[in-house]
Amino acid sequence: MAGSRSPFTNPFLKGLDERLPVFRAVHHSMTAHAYPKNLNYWWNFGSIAGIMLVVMIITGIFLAMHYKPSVQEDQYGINQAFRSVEHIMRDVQGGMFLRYMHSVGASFFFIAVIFHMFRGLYYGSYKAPRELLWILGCVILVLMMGIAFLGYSLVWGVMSFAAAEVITQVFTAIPILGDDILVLLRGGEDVDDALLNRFFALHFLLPFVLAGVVILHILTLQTVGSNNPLGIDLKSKKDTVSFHPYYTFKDIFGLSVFFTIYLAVVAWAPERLAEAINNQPTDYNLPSHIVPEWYLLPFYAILKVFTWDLNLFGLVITGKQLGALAMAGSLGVLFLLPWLDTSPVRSGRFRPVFRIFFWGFVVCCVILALVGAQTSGEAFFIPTPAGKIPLGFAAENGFVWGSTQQWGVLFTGYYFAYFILILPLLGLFERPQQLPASISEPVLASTRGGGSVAAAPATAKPMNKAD
Amino acid sequence: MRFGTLIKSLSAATAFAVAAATPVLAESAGPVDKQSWTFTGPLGHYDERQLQRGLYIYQTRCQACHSLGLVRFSALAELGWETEEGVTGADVAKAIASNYDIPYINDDGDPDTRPGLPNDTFPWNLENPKRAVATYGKAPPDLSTMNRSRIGGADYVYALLTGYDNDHEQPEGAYYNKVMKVISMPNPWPEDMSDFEYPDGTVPTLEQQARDVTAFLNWTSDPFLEERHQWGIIVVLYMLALTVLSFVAYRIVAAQVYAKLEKEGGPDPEH
Repeated sequence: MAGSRSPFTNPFLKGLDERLPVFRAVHHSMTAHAYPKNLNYWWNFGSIAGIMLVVMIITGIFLAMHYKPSVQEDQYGINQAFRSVEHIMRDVQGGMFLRYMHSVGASFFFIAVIFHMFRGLYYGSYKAPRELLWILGCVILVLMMGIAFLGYSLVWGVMSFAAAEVITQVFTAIPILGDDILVLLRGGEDVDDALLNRFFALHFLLPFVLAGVVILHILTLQTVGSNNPLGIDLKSKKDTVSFHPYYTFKDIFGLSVFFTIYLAVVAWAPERLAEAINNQPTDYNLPSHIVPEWYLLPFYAILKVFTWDLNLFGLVITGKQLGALAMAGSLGVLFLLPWLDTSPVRSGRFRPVFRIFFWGFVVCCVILALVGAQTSGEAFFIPTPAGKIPLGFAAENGFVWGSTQQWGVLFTGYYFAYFILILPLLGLFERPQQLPASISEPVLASTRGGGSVAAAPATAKPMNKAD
Repeated sequence: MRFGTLIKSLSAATAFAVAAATPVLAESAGPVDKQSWTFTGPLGHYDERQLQRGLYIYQTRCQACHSLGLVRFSALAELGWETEEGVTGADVAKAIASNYDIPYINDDGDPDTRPGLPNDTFPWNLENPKRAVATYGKAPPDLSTMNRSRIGGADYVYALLTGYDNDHEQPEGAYYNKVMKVISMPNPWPEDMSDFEYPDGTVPTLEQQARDVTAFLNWTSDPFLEERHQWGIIVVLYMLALTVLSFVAYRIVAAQVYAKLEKEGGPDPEH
């Protein structure tokens, strides 16, 4: 890009661009890069997630203009933070829309990112040369989880307090330094005004850090290029299109569908995705059943399923430490994924055995989310609109077979096995189907069977870059 | 099919999220039956006459113990009062406010009361949480966000209000309620309500009163529901139109790009 000539003919734009080449960089990124021509609708979620970040930052700035991070209670026993949120909803012009677009927006930001990540998992978008792209994506996920947790606490309702109390407690699992870290996080021994104020400061700051990582994510994408549903490299001009106008228009369409659903939820079910009890100001008692927001449930499940201590030759790891380790590990293992999956074939479309385990992993995440939402010692069930489908029962002696905790342990096991056992071994033992020769010739390749044009999978080198 | 139902079924992820959130329902011990309300559904709106009756029930049966600390009197102007010419809803709200005594510190620095102003919030008869606890052992919760803060919303509040059973054995130091089993709040309905009348002549059955006050509490909890629903209709229709147009535009662009690609090939792959 440096040294390249200005692509603009308009003299004003040309003059501006020659003095500030940001414009040619944007133009370049939209037109000069070759994108695979076969990206399907699953590839829409990246840009949708980017737009959701913008929506969250804009609505968030306006909310911050009216929010007061103070736990001080008035004569009704309502704290000022909670009151200021209600003030936004009741007294600020358009405040209800701002607030609901922000709170529902958090859920839809996660929905977009979850689809985006599962797409990457299925089509092998994390494999070379896109390891760094994937890792930056994982950084974004971790940041998002932190920001969402901080934001949820700001309401200072019943569940906000419980979340702040329980999640900061997790850090005491760290040996020796744990208690000091807790005080550092909370700004004191207790969950109090100091905590709320630093949570507000961090909730304001971190989204901009997130935006910075998103820019790195996009820069990396433009360097290594998009993966595609076939997972094979670009071979010729015929395989490629420029981002604009083809993908800009496809993204606008996808974005329209997504926003239709998002705004419908804002209008008719803005509280549907949230915990109702958080609409009550906290009285500093922990509710009997503590649950995080839905998007954190699988990780919360992994945190809470460990109820026993582990004795490693005299070194005792408590259940709490195990849970904290497992939760950190469940995120950490995502960072290692590019090196854990040993298969040279990227796309799940050509990996029949992988597909079974992949969908198993999707089910695993849903089950873990349900485990996170349910009470550990009770019989596990699948909630449906028609009623509960029980997957456990209490025996006569009081022991519960198929308790939430048992299902949690089982699927926590699958979660880790998927990354640590299944993906490494599959690459060694699975026989992938034949890869097409190029994006332009998938039909040709599949009709030729074991033909000469398409290389046999064992000798295929799909990870080699075309240039 | 209700529009809201359609929206839900559109998004698998939303359905998943809803399913994940549902288990918390286990909190309520008793059954909560679905009721028919004017404010549910895509065009749901409040019945203003019902809100007025609900306010009356709130004043008669609730406010001795409970507060509406987030609701300003001025908001009552929106309850659709039928007034004489020249008298606005704001005047009615002002009149209602002036019936309340608001505690304040007077110019001599002493605690005193003054008549309420439209900008005041409903005062609390028990004055503060400490006095509430000293009086009842447990502070009656503020009702401003009650319907929003219970799973089941209005259905839950209605079931709770109609769930008292004086004939049932009462738990020690508490009361029996079908929804919560054990509840600190005494039965708000007197045994004999024969001398109670609505100003508008509606027959004041217990169910009617519970229904009206629940609707009123839904309004205090979500006062801009109608505005949001109207906004939703416009926004979603706009978005659907945009979706159709953007799809057509995308297909046209796609056809052109593919035709060009067939003819001359795309740009050189950089990657």
